[in-house]
Amino acid sequence: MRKSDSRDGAGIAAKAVSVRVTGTRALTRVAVAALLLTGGGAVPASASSGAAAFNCTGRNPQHILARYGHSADGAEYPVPLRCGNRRWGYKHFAHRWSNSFESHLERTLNDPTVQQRGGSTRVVCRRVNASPERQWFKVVHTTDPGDRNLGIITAVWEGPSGTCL
Amino acid sequence: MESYEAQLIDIVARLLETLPIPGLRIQKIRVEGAGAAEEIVLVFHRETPLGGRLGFRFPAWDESLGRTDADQWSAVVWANLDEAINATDWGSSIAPDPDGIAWIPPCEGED
Repeated sequence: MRKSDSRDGAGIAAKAVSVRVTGTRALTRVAVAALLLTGGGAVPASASSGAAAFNCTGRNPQHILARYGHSADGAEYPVPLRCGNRRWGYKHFAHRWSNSFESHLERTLNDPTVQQRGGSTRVVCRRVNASPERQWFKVVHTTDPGDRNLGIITAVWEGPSGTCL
Repeated sequence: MESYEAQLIDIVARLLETLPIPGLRIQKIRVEGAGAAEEIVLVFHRETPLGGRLGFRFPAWDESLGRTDADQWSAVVWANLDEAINATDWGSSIAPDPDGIAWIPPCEGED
């Protein structure tokens, strides 16, 4: 069981769906987590364990590492996380990665507070209120009916730009 | 047929209308350079207490997508602009160039 550092402060019963793809074989694992409120923090009863950093060494930018988000929400989800490069995808924000960060990413895509659309671009935000600097967690991703989309471009704590508001 | 560059400028401009970054008003968007050095250049009026103008340069494409999909690349431009604004607090500590534009750098990860 992986403990989350979520500081949502709200009771949540959410289904977190993540599919992680590892190795050259299509090893997949679907983790369905019931997020239970305990002592002011949400703790996944069963989550995608082993959230260690992904390895993109020698991988093509299009290589899919994982998929996140409810598949029940339509064709857009789950959205892929690809290796990408320094400008998009996992490599773009790998320096922020941790178990907690991945948990916030999952929750944001599964249970967003605000969703904005512009063409194939999606800005998905979840209010967290963890601290004055960590009010919102934001994920930017693209969609495409096929599988040509970049998927997750970035995931970040919202700063002063205010695009989540 | 519209060039990739024209498509990119058009889509980025529309994206900034539908997904506006509060406090930024577009002054101009253009593509400069050629080949791998081709960049999209955005200049905004900064409608915050800082005032002045804000600039952002970003590759017009890269090897991961090529010059094939201006729609997908425009999302990368938007996300990197948004992050650069957050990381630099609107370029508050960046000295403007002689034209009065504070150029904010993209926050890139590692290849």
